[in-house]
Amino acid sequence: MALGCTFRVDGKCHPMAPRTLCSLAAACLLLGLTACERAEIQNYKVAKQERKAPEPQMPSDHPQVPGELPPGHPPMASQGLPDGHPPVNSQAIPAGSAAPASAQAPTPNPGDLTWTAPATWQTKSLGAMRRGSYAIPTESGELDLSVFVFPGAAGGTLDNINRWRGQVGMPPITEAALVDETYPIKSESGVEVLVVDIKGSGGDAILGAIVVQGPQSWFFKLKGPAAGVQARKTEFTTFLKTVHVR
Amino acid sequence: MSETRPPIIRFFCSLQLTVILLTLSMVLVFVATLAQVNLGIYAVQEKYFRSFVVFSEIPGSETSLPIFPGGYLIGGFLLANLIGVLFFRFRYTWAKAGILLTHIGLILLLVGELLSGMFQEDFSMELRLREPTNYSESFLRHELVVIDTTDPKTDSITAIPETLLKPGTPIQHASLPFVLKVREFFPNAGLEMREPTSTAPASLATQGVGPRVVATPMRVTYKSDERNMPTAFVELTGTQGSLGTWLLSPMLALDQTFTHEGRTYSLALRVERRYKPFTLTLTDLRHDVYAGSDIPRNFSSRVRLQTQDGKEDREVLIFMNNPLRHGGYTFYQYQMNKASNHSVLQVVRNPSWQMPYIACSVMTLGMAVQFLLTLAGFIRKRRAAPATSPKAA
Repeated sequence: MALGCTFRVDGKCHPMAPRTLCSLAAACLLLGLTACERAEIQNYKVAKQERKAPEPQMPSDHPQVPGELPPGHPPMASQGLPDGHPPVNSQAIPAGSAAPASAQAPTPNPGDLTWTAPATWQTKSLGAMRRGSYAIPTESGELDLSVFVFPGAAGGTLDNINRWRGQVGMPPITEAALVDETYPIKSESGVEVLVVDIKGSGGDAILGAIVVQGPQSWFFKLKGPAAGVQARKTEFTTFLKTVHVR
Repeated sequence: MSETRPPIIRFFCSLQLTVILLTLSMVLVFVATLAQVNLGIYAVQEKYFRSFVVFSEIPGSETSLPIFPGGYLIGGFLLANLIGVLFFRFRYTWAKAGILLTHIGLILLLVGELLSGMFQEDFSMELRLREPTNYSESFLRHELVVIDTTDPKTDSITAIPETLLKPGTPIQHASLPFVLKVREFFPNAGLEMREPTSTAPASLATQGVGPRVVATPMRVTYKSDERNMPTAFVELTGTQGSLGTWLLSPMLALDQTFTHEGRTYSLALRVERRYKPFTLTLTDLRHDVYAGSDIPRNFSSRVRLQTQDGKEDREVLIFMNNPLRHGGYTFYQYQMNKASNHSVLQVVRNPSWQMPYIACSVMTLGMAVQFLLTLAGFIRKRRAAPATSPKAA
C-alpha cells in the first residue's frame, strides 16, 4: 500500500513503498543514535571508602619523628606531651604552618618512593601537596627541595620540564631537544630517574628529577641560586640514588 | 535496476556507490594511521572513525573546517548500500545463497562495530595487594565529584562529567543544596606551590589549597603513555550567597572538605569511576621471566571475587589471554608492578562482543557455501560436456 507521494516522474506521482520507508527510518535511527552522546550528572551511594588519615602538623622546631626525641621527651603515643605541645593527631594548625586542616598530606603507602636525605638538609613542613620538603643552606643562599607525586604521567615529561624552565626564565624546548637536556640515572635499588639541569637566565637554577613509578609520577625539584644549586649537584645526585620503593 | 524506482533507492543500491565508499574508507584508514603518530589511538578513533565528518583546523586560527567524511558517515552509507541491495536488487535463488549469507555477515559486522562504538566501556582497575577494590577508572575521562560524607556508613556521590565543566555554565542537581559554577577550566594544567616571590596572578580560588597553588595551563597531550590533568576553579553558591571558590585537580592528593547547612562535603576532580556490585582483592601477583634473562614469561594476578549479595566468593587467576568474566565485564591483565605490589586490570564491557565472531562465521559460511555451489555446478557441467561432445559420439 502506498504511503503518500514522495516524488514525481513525468508528472506522475510515485509513492514510496512501506519497506523503503522502513529501511530509511531504520538507517536514520541507527545513525541518529550515534550522535546522541549525552553526559549526565549521576548521584549514587557507596559504602564509606577508607580515608587516609592526615599526618599531624608539627611546629617547625619540633624534632623530626621518627627520630631521636630530646631527653625526657615522652613517647609520642602517650598523653604526656610537653606543656603547650599541640595534640599529635589534632587538626589544629600551629601558627605559621602552611597547610589548612582540610587538605593535609597523605600517609605514605606501600609502593610509594622513599629516600634518605643528607643530615645537613633541614626538613620543612610538607603542606597539602608535597611528599618531601627540605631547606638546604648554601653560601649563595637557601635552596628549596620539593618532592611531589601525581597520578599517571601528570602531563608528560616534556611539559613538566618546560614548566620548570619557565620558572627560571628559560624558553621551552622541543621533544627532539629533550634527549640532550636530560640524562637518566638509576638509584641503588634500580629505580630509574630522569635528571634535568636547568640554568636560568635570572640567576636561579633548577635541578630536577622525574621518576615514573607504577601509576604515579614523582617530581624532585631543587631550586635556588645557580651557584648554590651547582655546589649541591653531587649531593642531589647522591640523594637520588637513595630513592627506593617503600 | 528498474527506472521506476525512486532515485534515492537507485542511489543507495548502485554499485558505483559501493566502489566510491570502499575507496573513501581506504583513504580514511590510511590518513588515520598516519595521524596516529601524533594524536594517539583514542584521539584518532574519535576524530576519524567515530564521527560523521572529519574536521581540520585552519593553520593559524581556531576555526575548523570539514574536510572528509568520517567513519560513521561512510559506514552508514555502506550499511544502507548493503541493505538496499538486499531489499531491491538481489535475486533470491539457491545459486546465490552463499552471496546472500556473506552480505548478511557483512551487515552484522558493520552493525556490530556501530554498537561497540556506542556501548563499549573500557576502564582500568588498579589493585593493591590485599586491598579490596570495587570500582574501575576511565583511561581518559575525569569527573568532578561532590561527596556528602555526613553519614557514618555511606557516601552520597554526585558525579559531574568533565564535558559539563564549561566556564560560566551553572551546574545544579537535585542532590545538591548549592549551585556549582565553573570560573575557569583547563583541559590540561600543571600545579605548583605559589612561592613568595611568584609573579603569577592571584588565584581565583578562595578556599582550600587553591590560594596557595599556581595552575599553569599546558597543551593537551594525545600520547598513550601520558595523561591530561584537567584543572577547574569551581565556585559554590548556596541560598545565602557564595560559599567560596575551590581549585580542583586530579593532582591534588586529597579531597577538599567543607561544611554547609550541617552536612560535610568533599570536593574533588578525579578520574571517572564506575562502581561495581562486587569487590576484587589482589591476593597474589606473579611476574615470571625466562630463566637466565629479563624477558617476561608470565604476568598473573590471583584475585578474590566477592559479590555484595554474598552469593559468590571465589579466587580466580587472571593472566595473559585468560581474563575473568563476571557480571558482563571482562577483566584482562593489563599492567603490573611487582616491586610495588600492584596490578592493573583492563575492564571491558561490550554487550556486542559476540557480533564480530558471529559475523565472521556467517561470512565464512557464506563463502564456503558459494564456493561449494560453484564447484558443484562446475563438476556437473564437466560431467555433462563429454556426453554432448561430437568427438565422444
